[in-house]
Amino acid sequence: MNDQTASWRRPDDWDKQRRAMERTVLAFRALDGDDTEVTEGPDPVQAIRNLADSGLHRVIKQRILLDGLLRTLPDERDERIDREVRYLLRKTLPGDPDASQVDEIMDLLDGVAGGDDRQRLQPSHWGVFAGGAREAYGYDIEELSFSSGCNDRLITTKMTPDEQPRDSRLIEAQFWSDQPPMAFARYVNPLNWPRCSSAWQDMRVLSGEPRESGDYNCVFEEVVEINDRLLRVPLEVGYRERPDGSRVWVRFNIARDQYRARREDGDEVPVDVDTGLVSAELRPGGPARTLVRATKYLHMADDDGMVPELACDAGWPDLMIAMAERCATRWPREEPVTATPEPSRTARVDAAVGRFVDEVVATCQQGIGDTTPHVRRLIGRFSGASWDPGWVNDLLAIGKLTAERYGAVASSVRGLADGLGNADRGGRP
Amino acid sequence: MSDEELVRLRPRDLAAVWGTAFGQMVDLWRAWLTAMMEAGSAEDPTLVGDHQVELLVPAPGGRLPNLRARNLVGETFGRPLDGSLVTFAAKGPAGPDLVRVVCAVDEARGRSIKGDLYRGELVDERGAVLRRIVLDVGS
Repeated sequence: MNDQTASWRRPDDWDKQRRAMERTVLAFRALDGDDTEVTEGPDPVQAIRNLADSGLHRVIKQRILLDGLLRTLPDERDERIDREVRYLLRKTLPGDPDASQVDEIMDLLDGVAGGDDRQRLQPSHWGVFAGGAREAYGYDIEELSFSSGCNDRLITTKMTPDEQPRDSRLIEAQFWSDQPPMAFARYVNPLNWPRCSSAWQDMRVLSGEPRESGDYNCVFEEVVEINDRLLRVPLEVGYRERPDGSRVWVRFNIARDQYRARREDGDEVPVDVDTGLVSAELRPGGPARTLVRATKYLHMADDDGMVPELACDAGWPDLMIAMAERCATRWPREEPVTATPEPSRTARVDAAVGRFVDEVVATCQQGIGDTTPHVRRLIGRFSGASWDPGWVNDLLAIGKLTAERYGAVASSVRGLADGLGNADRGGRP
Repeated sequence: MSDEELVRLRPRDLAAVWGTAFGQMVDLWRAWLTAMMEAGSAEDPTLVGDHQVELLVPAPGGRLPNLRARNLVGETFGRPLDGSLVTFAAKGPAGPDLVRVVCAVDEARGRSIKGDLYRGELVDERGAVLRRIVLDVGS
């Protein structure tokens, strides 16, 4: 345990929360007659009951339930399961709901998931359910727009540290928020992931100096537990904040040197592809001002397919929904992390203007360089024995380069406008 | 230009100049249109940055231009990425003079690509910028 996490203790019930998610996922997989990977699973009745009684966020509970019901056919469910489903819906409804309210939500759930075919949870399924239950649950924009991609089709080839191609699972989760991007900086920072999600055990510092705010590079040993497997993975991390507060992100990749060193020591790293990004960014044109997004490409060295599936269905969305509520229910109040320094409005404007100037100067310099040969040729047309009419072509070529330069400048102006708007709205929480 | 110099010009020289100029004026018009579209590029959903990006590319007469990517640089670690690693697969027409193209990176051809979001430009065979692209590449 490093200095940053030494003063913090994991809540005792987090392992229970993680297991509640995973057991329910596995129970529904076992019910799914077409799923050949999981033939025996936990008792679905007990799994749903434990999920309902856990301290997990309601969106996590409801999404796992919806995904499970989508994967199973109506005749694979019995009355006992339906009774537990109602129990979970009632537990997640605010206040003291009566039976008719639960019936209403149950009908909605059956309408989304009760078809005679097996499906995978898609953003459209959640959209229909959350839209229909919006009034009953009082969902906010983060919950309504929550989306994660676990549909078994998101596979892409990524290279291992040994340059071997592997079909890796793409795990995605995202939501929109009216908070500015910097409101999520603390949770984008991997230093704090163990405080937000039950799957993360620790982020041990192997080299570099992580910070609570401001850019840093660092190598962590990420310790996560999935399906009762403890995975220790050396991750090279680059954490960045734009000075104008318009974007904060972290990029992580397997740290190659540590990966090879572990193998030489006979302590193989259990994953051979683990790369991705967590970001919060101003995105004009969306349902809210900020898009918070996390992507991860994962492949297990021993081809254990359940770990990426459970990471996709449980661990990654759990971290994201924890971010959506800014770890409000999990961040220990008695041990607040040092507050991120609040930059003044002037500093934010200066940063946005500085970025704009840099971009425009770079564009103009490139433009001058590209125009020079045309100008030289143009002058040469008039210095011969007679004028060469090709000057028309040179002039048009210069005009086209100018137009392209204006395009790049226009894009920078748009960035400046976003930056200034962000500074006016506060930039940080 | 004096009258005497004008008389010395051969018709075929003038035809070559103005024939080229006509094509250039078309290019100039397209460049201005692209420049105007650039102002709204911040809202382009393809700029989120996935491992592959679907784009609509202008294809005058239905002919897809020879596309290439350039100036790709990782946003976190600042490393450049060879634009020739970017592949383009046409997915069919998407309207009059528009073609749907899937753009990705052949990671197996690159050596030890550091995982990052790489931002750059998509250009046609004449080097005209068609749009900006963002791709999640490497590991």
